[in-house]
Amino acid sequence: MNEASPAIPAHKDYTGAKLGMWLFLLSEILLFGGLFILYSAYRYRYAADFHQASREMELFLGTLNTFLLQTSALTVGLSILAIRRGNRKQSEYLLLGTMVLGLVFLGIKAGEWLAHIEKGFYPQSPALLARPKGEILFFSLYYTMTGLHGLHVLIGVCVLATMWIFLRREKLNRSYFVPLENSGLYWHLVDIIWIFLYPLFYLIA
Amino acid sequence: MEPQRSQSETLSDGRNGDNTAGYKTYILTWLAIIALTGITFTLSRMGGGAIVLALLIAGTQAALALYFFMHLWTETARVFKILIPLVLVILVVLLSLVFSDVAFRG
Repeated sequence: MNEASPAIPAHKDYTGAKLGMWLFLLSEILLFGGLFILYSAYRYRYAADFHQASREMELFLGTLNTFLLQTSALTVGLSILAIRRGNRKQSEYLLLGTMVLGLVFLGIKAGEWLAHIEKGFYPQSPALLARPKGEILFFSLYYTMTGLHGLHVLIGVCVLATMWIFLRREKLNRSYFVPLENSGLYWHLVDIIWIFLYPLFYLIA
Repeated sequence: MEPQRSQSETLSDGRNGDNTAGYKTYILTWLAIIALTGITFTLSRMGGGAIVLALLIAGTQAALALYFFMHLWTETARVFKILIPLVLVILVVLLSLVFSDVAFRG
């Protein structure tokens, strides 16, 4: 190396980073989209059974979870806004709040699942297999879709926890925040998917 | 030599970012989404909530989240404005093709 070679600043491409994230999110939309298509096809064929099976859902808990997730979308958005304005502490607390809301969501969801299982409604259970075909399909879709969604919430909490550590170590600041921005996009997508799961499973009884 | 522009300067030029979106925008968006959840919940409790209406409300909530929370309203790169609607159109095409098959099967 001779001394004439110029120092190259780290390359940071804001639009490129976000585009990469969006491409991933769009593939996620197609992944869940397939399940939504499956749901609508079976709901069309077994409308009465779906109505009946939906009575097993805890409407209050589902609505509470919807509220929690939608509020967590606000806190993650505000966390990004805070770091963009240089308020690191505020950003940390809002991110922490988002993670807590996500974990409470998962706790309630787990409680609901346990209650269903206690009643004997789980895949291949005798109590479920004795029900009409449409109700069996409803529960299969319920476990698959809310399970896959719950997995996304869990991954989202882990990603946000990583961002929280980045914030603590001052790796993110008002001029470099795109990892947090992209994590926020992921969290919002998880929220949007729930927005559709909520009416499809809880509001059709 | 041109002075180096940091990312935040680029952002305050209005490119790539949403320096105009403040706390107020986020809170108003959140209130609207929560209010719509309340409406869809109440409608279903009253028994008058058709699933089509519930899905329309969900679609509105998703649009609000995409537009404000996910910053599509300040995204200046054209690629986002093409890609995202394109994927949604693909999904609608898939959905309607499958649905028409299922509905008209003997």
